[in-house]
Amino acid sequence: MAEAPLLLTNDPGERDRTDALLLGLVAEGDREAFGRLYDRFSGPLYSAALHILQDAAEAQDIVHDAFITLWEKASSFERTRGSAFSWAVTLVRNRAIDRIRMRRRRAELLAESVPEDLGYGTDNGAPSADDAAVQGDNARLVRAAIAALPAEQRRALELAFFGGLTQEEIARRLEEPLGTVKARIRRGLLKLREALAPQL
Amino acid sequence: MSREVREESSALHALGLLAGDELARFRRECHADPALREVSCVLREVTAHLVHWAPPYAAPEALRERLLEGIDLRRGTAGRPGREASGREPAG
Repeated sequence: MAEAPLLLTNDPGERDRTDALLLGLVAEGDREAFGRLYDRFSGPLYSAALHILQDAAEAQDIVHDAFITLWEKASSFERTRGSAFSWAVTLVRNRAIDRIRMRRRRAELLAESVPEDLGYGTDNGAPSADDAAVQGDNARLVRAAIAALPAEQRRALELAFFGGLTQEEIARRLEEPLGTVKARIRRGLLKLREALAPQL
Repeated sequence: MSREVREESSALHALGLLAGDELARFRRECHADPALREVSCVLREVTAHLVHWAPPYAAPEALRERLLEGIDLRRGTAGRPGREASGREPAG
């Protein structure tokens, strides 16, 4: 495998270029590049899947399927349409959300299946997965940016991203008009864009 | 289309909150409006970072091994990736 440069870097542009380079090697059938991409992405992807599904076996299945898709379709990746990381997040999140919606339809347990609180106000004892310093730094920046959002924007984003609820379901859950919910989501993401600009 | 409308529809799309006619309309408008495409792309990247909000857990080592075994099987039967893929899922 050709050596991918600067795997550990705080430069987001360099990080994305390295991810894209690794994905390009994966498209050529490079097993080692695939392993390195897995090592870079699997922590946050698995954590998100686990948080959405609240089931370790299902989260592993979702991450497994998403990485198989990355392997099979790496050659279709277009860097102009976004980063490799955002593509991987989309693959995992879409599968996880589909699964909880299917679960809800089956069991009609909508109210119980959405996490009430992400627990960052308290020590939830979650074991840290990120031994990669760069990934850890990035995660800390994101969490700080999210913590700085007004609570109502944070809650709307949380229900949308991890809860898998529709716009209407979020509005009902928050007992707010749909227009208010849409505005909160818009403002919340724009504030995050501003706060995370150096990372994008 | 105003900036606010672009931002709102892009935010909803990035979070997977558009469906049916709304989603179809957004895709049509995105195709025709470079400014909308740009906002949409940026907000998708912002949204991807929300994964770091989840409490951090390490994926089990067994998952890595299972994946690499699966890749070896695919390499053995199909060579380079994509040769046995039946369809393309949009990237990016």
